[in-house]
Amino acid sequence: MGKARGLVDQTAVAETHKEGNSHLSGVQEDQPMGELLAREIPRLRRYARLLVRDNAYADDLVQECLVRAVSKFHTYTRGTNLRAWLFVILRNVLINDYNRGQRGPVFCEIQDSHANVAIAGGQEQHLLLEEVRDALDSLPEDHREIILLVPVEGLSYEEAAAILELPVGTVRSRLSRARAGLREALEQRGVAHGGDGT
Amino acid sequence: MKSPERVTDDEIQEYLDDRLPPERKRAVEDYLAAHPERAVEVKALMRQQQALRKLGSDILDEPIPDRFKEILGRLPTK
Repeated sequence: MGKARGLVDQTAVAETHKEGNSHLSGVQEDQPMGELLAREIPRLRRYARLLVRDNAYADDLVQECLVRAVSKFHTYTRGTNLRAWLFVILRNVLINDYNRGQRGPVFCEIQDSHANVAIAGGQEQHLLLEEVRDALDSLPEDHREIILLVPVEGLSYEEAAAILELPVGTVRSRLSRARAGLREALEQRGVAHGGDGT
Repeated sequence: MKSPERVTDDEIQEYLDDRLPPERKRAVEDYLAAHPERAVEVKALMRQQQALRKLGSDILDEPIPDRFKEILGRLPTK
């Protein structure tokens, strides 16, 4: 799987984001840590859910992530990118869980049921998003991951690079390939996602 | 109208991610206007991007479970 990495050095992420990124999470220096963490929970949940496609399991991962974050909150440097810091923890929770063999290959497992597909908008939008979700699920895990971090979560290339421990150039090229792969997967599903049927 | 200047693949990706400064954004748009075949591809990727931005947006509005709040409650108050 190539996912068996050691614990990511949290400080490295903190250092990477020391400058110019605090505005992204809107971190206020004087805000209680609990409030700052609470504000990030919805995004952690979304990422986990879209990645593992099992809502209960996804929330278990988020819970473990929060437990770890609380127990080591003193290692977080205020003013640095809290979101990136939390995503690193969440990702480690998932990787560790997978390595312990507790849940099988959650990254690769493809479930038939899309009952929990998150939707927004009307019926047409529903179909579209469900197909996008389905196509996304068919991609290799590193491609799904980069799609979830950048286009879905709206993180910058630099943030994604810090979370994934990759050079920014690799993030760019992987993202480009993932996008092309997703487009291909949508076309295979007959989704008229390109052009206007021309 | 002068012929549009060359744009890189990286810039097209940044265009999709809305990371380009206005003048480069215009350069990409001019380039695409002059290269219809490329424009079709970028348009498809742009729609895909718009759908991805909405993916799971309803999850963000869900109330935070009490068990999560309890964990946060373990933080020292100061």
